[in-house]
Amino acid sequence: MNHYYRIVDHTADIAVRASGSSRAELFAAVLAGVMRLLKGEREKNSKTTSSQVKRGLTCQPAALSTFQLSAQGVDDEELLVELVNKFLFACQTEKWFPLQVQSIIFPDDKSVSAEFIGCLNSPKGSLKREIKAATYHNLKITRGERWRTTLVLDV
Amino acid sequence: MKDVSQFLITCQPENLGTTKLVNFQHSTRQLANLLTYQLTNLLTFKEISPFRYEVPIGTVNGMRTTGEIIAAPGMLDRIKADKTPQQVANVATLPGIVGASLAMPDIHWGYGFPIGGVAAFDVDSGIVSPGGVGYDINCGVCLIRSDLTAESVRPQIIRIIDNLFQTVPCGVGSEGKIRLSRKDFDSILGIGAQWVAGQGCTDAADIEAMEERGSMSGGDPSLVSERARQRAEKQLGTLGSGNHFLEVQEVVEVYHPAAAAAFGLFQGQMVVLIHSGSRGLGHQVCDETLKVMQNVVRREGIVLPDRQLACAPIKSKEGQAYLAAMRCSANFAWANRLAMVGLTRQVFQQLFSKSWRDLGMRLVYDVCHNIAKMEDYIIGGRKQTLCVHRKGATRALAAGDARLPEMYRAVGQPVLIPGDMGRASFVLVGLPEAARTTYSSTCHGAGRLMSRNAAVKSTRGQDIVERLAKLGVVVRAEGKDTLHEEVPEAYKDVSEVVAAVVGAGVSQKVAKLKPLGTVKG
Repeated sequence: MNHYYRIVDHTADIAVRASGSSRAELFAAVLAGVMRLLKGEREKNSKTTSSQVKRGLTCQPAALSTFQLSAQGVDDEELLVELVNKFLFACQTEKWFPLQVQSIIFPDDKSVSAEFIGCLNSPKGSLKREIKAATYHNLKITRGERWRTTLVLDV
Repeated sequence: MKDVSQFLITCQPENLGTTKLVNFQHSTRQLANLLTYQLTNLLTFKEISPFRYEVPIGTVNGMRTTGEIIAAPGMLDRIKADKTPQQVANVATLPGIVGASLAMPDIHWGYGFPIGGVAAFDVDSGIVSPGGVGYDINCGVCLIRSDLTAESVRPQIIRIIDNLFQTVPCGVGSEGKIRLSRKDFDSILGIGAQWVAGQGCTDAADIEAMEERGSMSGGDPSLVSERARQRAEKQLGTLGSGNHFLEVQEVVEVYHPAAAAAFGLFQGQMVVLIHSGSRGLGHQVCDETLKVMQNVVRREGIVLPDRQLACAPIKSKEGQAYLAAMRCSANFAWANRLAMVGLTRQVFQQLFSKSWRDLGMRLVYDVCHNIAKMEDYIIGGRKQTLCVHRKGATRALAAGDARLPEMYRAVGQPVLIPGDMGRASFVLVGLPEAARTTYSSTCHGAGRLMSRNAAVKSTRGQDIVERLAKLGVVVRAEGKDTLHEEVPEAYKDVSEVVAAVVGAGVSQKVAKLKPLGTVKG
């Protein structure tokens, strides 16, 4: 995937500024940024590569599995917020430890499905940061040469 | 990196420069700097009275009223640079707002509403906004006093903090030992701290020392989703992470002897301050409601400058549903803090071989910072019920207010203002001016000055535990990063914030507290 994200500082919160050559790549970039924050990794920029997939693995490779999430919304912004918030719930409450976004599919304009690779039942301490939610604050997804957005997270 | 960008700068000419479409090649950083420069240098405040500044109508399009910021003159440049006046102005665009959109001196950039924002809405024509309360519904603080002196506990402070750290669950994903049946969980959502009182090291007298007596009526557990329940079912009696803390402190100065005596405070006393909220429950309720309210905004044709300000008419089905779920979350937060009060007393009982009652470990008060409440005020000579949103602000009732418990009615409400873990916290008392000018509200803390990453960068290589130990503060934290993010210099000096609310006449200083030891998530 040819996507890119950057962690952006705000006084009280943190944002993920991301871009991709398609809407799916943009969503994957945002999710990759959120994953990085959950794991407490502080590098501000990243182009996700396959070599990074197993970094921070908290389970045996054999225990890796996939999980799917879907979200509905009336526009791209709502789809993104809803998907990220469902992702946060899966990680923080259902104890998924995410490693990589496998695919992002838009069955129609009002829904999105995402598939991830990760570990089930991650032990306490696997996630280093609590993120309360993705917000709508000044959220706008733009489409030019690339798809771009900045998603503010409440931490 | 070069990037072609379009920025529509929607600032009004009289305040912020010309409305224009800028289309040019520039780096993102240069554009951000340009925008910050414009906002910082062109926005002007009118001084209404000492420590009060007006954000004029026209600062953003669609303002229905002015904004008003309480601050000391020296704080204004920093507030402008943070762009928060624009957020104060955004709130002033919301339907049914009564009086000014207010901000306290600990104001800083939030999402939608600024942190430190207060806004009141008419119950018939106004709205309720989850973004005006925040994700951590009823995040707040409570203060436990004691008969112990700081001098007597100082030699044991490492042991005390270690025991508190072991006993009160904290950190990312922390779970408590209390397991709740569905019936118990529903009871907590319905009656809040009253469910906890009488269990463990708590009793009915604790309830008298809590805002709303630890329980908001009008909650409806059936409106709290399964996901919200799931997120909080193991979190009762847990501190959480981030800026939440449990701190053993010393009363180092008393400014108002009569109020201090009423609150049971004396110089040299050891007290304990706890800061936490509704944990995952509030986060989920806010998140789910914001989605619902995006649809309401479209249906009602409400024009918003920021989607995070999504709202619903107070009397609509969605508005009432949010208020009912928010009250349940607030009740959970009060129960959560009181459960931690019980755990704290248990630690002291064990270490001092005396009951918590014999140690004099009574609750001084418990206040909430993030809430929407129906309150009556005199507006234009007549009584009006308003939905007062406080997001990072504290209710501060003056002496004589019937909502105060009997024991504080003669002096006013204790207002608890936590600072950072290296400097100080304050106890204030509410004044009548607050009822006239800020819907009985005051500041809630120091307010962040640095981003979390900036704080971590600026302290890279430092041993924060050792640094604070040199200041006489013992710190234990679940997450190493949290300590770096929460270093004292990451916050404004709370003394300056308090000086501004005192200067504006909305609160009076009662006592200053200094940390002896801190437990962080």
